[in-house]
Amino acid sequence: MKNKKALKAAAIASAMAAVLLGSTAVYAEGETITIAASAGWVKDIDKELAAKYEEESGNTIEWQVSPDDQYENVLGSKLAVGEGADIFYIRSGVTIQKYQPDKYMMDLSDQEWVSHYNDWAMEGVTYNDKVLQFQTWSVDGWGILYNKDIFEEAGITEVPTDFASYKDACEKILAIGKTPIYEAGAAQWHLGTWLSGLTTQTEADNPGFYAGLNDNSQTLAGQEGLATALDQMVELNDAGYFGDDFMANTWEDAPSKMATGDYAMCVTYTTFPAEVEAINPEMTTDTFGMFPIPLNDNTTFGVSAGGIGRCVNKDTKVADAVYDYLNFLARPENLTAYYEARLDLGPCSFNDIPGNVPASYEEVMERASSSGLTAEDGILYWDNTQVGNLMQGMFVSGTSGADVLQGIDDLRQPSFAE
Amino acid sequence: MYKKKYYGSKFVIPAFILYTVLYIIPTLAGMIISFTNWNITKDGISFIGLENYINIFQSKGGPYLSSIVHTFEFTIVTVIFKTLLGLGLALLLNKGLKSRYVFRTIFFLPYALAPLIIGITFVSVLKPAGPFNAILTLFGLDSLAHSWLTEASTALGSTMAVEIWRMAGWNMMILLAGLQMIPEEYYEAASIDGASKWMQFWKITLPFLRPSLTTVIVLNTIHGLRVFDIIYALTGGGPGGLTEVINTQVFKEFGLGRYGMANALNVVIFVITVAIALGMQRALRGKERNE
Repeated sequence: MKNKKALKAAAIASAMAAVLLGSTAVYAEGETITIAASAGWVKDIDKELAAKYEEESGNTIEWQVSPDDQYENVLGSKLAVGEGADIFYIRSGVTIQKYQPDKYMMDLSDQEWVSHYNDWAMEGVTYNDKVLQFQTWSVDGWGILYNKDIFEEAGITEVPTDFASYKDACEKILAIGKTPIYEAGAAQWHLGTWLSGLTTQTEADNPGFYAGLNDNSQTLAGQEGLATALDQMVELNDAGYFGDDFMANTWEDAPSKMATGDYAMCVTYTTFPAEVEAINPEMTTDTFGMFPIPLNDNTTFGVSAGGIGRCVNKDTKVADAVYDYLNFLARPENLTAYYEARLDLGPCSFNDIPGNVPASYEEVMERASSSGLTAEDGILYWDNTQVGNLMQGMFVSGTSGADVLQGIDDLRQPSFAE
Repeated sequence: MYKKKYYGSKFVIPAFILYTVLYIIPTLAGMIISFTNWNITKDGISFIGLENYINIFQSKGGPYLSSIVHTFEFTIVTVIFKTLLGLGLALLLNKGLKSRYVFRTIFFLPYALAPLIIGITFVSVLKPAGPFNAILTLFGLDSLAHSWLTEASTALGSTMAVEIWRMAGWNMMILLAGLQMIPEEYYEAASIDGASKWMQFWKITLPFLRPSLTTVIVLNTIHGLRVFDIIYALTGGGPGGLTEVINTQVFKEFGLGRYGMANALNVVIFVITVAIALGMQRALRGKERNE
């Protein structure tokens, strides 16, 4: 009886082993490349190109997608315990430094596609003279998008260039019964984008300001221009230019609200008009123009370091397959397919194809005295959500712009501790 | 003979191993990490003693202390109202009412829903143009309408109200079970002796309910101190940090990659929860024994 049982167990074990070995054999035909990303960063076209690559190469792409608000936590933890994916998405620019590039990121400088990068893309993906990201995103910035028809109706003939003319324009818009500005006050990160775009002026006026903040020899507290800009935001709200209960406005509603024609302006990116047009086809992209955020008489346009890029894990076991996949994505026909599907993106990171250059981008760049990196991509340990949380305090608890700047310094300080 | 009725101590081993691996070791590891400067942006970890704890309690007006204060406010208010509302519902639906089983189910339903789903739903309900304000306006109470989750005066209170709504039915269920255990004869005897309903409640119901009340108060306190999901879904700790509680702060520190500080905050809430829960249990059970 006992022998019978043992025989049965052995038979089951060998059957299981055969199944396992069999499946391993099937797997061995191609490599599996794991890719970690935030849900909002992976679009249908990414999946389509991945499928095309799988078919062509025999390799397999395995997506590890996390919810947007949890991705950074998940990525940080996985890297820390040595379980990072072969490719992981992170923001370009200063964010690269947050993830210990020397420890976790492969140097991609010798890859062929690197020579095709545009200057802004090259700058955004480079750290310590090493190219650390494969980037197919676009340079963009956050300016004030305005509805030309509403401006005309309100009798605004000149686009605002300083705070006084901006307030004047808001007053005229209010007078015709429209809300001057749609501000997504419930989205803390969106409030943060205002200030993130305004530090560009401080850097332009005091070159080395960002570098000082990044080596912890400089503080935001004491920057009177930025404090003034923040206090002016409260002034705008007190005057009713953000409308009623703007703190309950969500970012998700922004395109549809702008599409109603009830709001004249919104702080947003340059490809945003296409999203409005998709909701209201009568409101074409030509309806909108853009100018730099004029708080504290700012005239600069803060831009990103190119958006989101893919880093290659230094510990990947499938480096050759990963390089092969990136080479595939860098082919002009695949870049064209990618940018044609991603109308939310602007100019292409590579010089092989132009990408999409929206009229708003050209317009705001023309109006700006200069452009430079926003705080989000230029200042280490800057977090728009945390900054926005502090900024909400100005509207609900009466804190001042100076308090917000001090708060940001306090938030960043522990990250510099040795 | 009786010895044979008991299981041998080796039967505890599987449970002990599981508990150790899944709970004790992670908790101890968290405590150890709380004394380090582990930060995802830095290579290497070193012991920094009590520095994280000092930062938590020295940040006057800073995010850590205010989140501890909010946690206590949230806990105290929700414990009181969840328990009272649960008790009221339990007394109402204990007997007499024909459709009491339907009502019990209805009141218990919110507890069966995920807090995140409730949070997302109530964000819409409590919007300035949401259904709650619409109902107030319908009854001519538009002066009471607010942007409930984004105004300084109402944000924390609104999160408390949603939590009370969510958990009242759960409190009701536990207290109902306690009420069902009270022998009917006591009430009959008291009625014959001429005791009023109030006297019956005070002298019979409440003393018999004390074990159930102890359970709900202790569990409500633990739930309150460890609150995270409902706040995260409703306000994300905003506006301006006015609804920030310890666990949302832990989440943010974790997001910033400051694992040392995140664990220190976690240990603070762990110690507070254990101390309060044990203290309350001892005090309430002591009272029970004295009666």
